[in-house]
Amino acid sequence: MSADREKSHDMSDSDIALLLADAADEVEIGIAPYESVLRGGRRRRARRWAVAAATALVLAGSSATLAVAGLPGGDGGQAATRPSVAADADPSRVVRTTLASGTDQGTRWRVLIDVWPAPRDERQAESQRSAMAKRGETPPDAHRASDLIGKVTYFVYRGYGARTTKVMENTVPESDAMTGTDLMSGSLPLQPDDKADVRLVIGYVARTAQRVNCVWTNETATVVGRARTGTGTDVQAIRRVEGSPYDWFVCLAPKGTQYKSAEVVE
Amino acid sequence: MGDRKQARDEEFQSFVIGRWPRLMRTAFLLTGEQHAAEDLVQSTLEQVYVAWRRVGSADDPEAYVRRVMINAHARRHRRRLREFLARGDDSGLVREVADTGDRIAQADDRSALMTALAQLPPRQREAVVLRYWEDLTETQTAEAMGCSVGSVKSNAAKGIAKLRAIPGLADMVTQGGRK
Repeated sequence: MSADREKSHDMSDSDIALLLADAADEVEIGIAPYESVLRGGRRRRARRWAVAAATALVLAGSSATLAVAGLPGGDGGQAATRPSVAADADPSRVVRTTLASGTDQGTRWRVLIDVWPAPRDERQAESQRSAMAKRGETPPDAHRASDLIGKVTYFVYRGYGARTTKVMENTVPESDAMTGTDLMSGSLPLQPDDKADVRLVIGYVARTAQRVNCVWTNETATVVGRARTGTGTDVQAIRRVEGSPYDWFVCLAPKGTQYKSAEVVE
Repeated sequence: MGDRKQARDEEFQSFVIGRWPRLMRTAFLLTGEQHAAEDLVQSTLEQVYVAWRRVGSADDPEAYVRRVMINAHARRHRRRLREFLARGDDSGLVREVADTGDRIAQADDRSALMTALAQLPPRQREAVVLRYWEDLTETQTAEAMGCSVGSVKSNAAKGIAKLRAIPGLADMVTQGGRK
């Protein structure tokens, strides 16, 4: 049956088509809310990518390009806290920063972030992708090396005892910025095998953010302030991360309670 | 690369702006409510955005959008149905899924048609709207609804039969639609 023939309705039903067209005119069309669609689409993308590891992903504010991913795998490495931002870093060299560390029931844990600076051209992008591959890191949503040009790629790891798991990843424009009280965070269990005990919160905020409130299910809160010179990684704080367009924070719920919300309060 | 992304964003923006009116009309016929239609179109386009890199370069992005919209519409009805079941709200359940033998008391304007559409089970409503408003072939409708052509025929026929049962519909037709 040809499409035309298939399409032709029974002539006696053409009246229904007319009535439907007439009824459809009742709706107020308005202006297409493009910005709103875009924000919603970005949230969806972030949620989709976050499913593997983060139990909940929260966005507050609206200016940032959003996408956070979770993937199993990866291995540990030497931790080093580097507070400053290099002017023109080598894109084939990753910068690893410890965002937080501590001890939970006698087991050491830590949260690390690997940041790859933005390549300037195709050659640098190729070189960066090879270097990433050697570390078992694959940039999300970058099908060709050239997709990395002008973008910073990061991978966040949760280490618990001897196990290190990749929990977030993203490739974002180098010029991306969070403003005001924008906050993007993922919450997940501290222990890799514990699906229910969601105590760990990892997120990023604007460079200007001074304090983040992490609220727990028992209605208590942990206030995270700015790291100062010499602030150890065992202190939960907002930290500058070399190469990242955002500042990062980690907070951990006390044992027996879990993540409820997080927001920039100052 | 940046240029490519910008071009893709611009393409998506044009798509949203260009298709918004038509999608709103389809969603209105599916949902019967202004706000529900806006919600349905917006959530459809958000999903399209996530897949735009692939969808935008496909031969027929419209088909993808239709499929997403129909899926979203079906999901909402399933959710509503579950809510009715959970609440034990019989009246809502009947209103939603009954093979209605009820007749619309008065049908002398287009709101009667909308009321009748709203009383159709979701699959019949989708089949009628896609076939008679979107003017899709049975095959295209089946693709959008994720079912067989036979199921489209059956749902569309039942839906049309129920609409025809609206008292006064024949008058509307002979007068060329709404006054």
